[in-house]
Amino acid sequence: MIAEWRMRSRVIALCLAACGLGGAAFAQPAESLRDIEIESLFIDVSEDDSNFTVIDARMDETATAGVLFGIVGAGINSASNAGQDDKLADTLRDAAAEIDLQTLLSDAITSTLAERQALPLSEAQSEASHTLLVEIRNWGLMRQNREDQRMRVFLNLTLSVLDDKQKTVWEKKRENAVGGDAALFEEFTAERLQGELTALAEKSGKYIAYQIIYR
Amino acid sequence: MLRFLTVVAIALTTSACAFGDAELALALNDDAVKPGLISEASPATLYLADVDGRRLDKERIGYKRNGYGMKTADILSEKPAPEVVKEALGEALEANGHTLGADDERYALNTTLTNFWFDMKTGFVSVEFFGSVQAELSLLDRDSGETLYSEQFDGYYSEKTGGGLSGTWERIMNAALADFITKVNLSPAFMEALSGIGSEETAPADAADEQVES
Repeated sequence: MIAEWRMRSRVIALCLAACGLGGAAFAQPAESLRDIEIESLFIDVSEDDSNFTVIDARMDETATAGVLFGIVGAGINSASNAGQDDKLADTLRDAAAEIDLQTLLSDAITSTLAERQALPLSEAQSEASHTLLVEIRNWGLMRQNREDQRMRVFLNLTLSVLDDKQKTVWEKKRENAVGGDAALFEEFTAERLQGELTALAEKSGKYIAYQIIYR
Repeated sequence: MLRFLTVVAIALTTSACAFGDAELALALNDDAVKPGLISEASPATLYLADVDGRRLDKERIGYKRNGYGMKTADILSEKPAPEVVKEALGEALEANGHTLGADDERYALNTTLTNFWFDMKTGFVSVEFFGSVQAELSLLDRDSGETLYSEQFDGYYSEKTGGGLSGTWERIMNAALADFITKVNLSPAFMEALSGIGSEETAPADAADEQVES
């Protein structure tokens, strides 16, 4: 009788857990940017996890993975489609390597904040009350959607604000930006790719700065 | 008694979160209705056209999924997604000092909604929820037929948590909508386009004032 009761209790517990009623235990409320009292800010743009990629065949397989799971999800698709996309990316890899996204983003954020005199900027992390960490993730070319063969440049970033103890006090994952004019892959010359990604990085940097200004 | 409780628990879990369609009340969060960069543009009056819905799936905004990721029911929006986006854009424009004009206004803001979707990915002990709102905005001079500005915006929000039902899904989608609107609010290109039409609208009035004074 006791064994039966235990078994039923476990089944009920599993049902409840599966339906997510235990959510509160894992909840991680994100702190709003406006709640952070930033006295001085250090800008740090990291390209440690930067990855140039082309998302074409993977879009056919699971459009939602590419679009909804922040492009990162597209990486989990089948090796064959990833291999096809890698071959496309290889043809533009040298051109992509010449794009200094780290400097473009850092300059755009810093100059926009400085122009607006929005808040004091620090040149050293040790002197700042907070650090804005911008991590470059996947970037390159992706299909508009499953029905459209044309591609556009994209940039996928993670934004974090760290306090002076390097604790993350705010985070925004998968800050996606899409830009340029839609065109077939063959139309993307090295110059076009570089021009459109440069423009997109500058635009993204400004947008990040405006998020802080208008927080 | 125990048998009764078991039946109730199973009935609750299956009916509430697995097989019945869910309808979400989606709207722009109050804290997302605030001035941004486009408030720096000269006040403009423009016609906000109905949003052109070009989503791949117009029947739903997402699927309920079981622990294996299989679709079990639809997730719907109480109001059609294009209407939700149009209302949010209208609120944002007005919060930024611009005026929504009638159908005969010279300038029209056209919106093509390409994606409005909620999804979830179940892990071992947590679920990650995703909301996405993508649309292209274009500003049209209806006198000349010229497109003065166009830009694609990609609103997105994701959150990993222990779980959640319709209240959580609503919050995730509303956060994605807020992210979309924030991007519109902070667009330098949109600000410039609005400035262009705003200053044109105020110019004749200034000229008329000067004539009266002279």
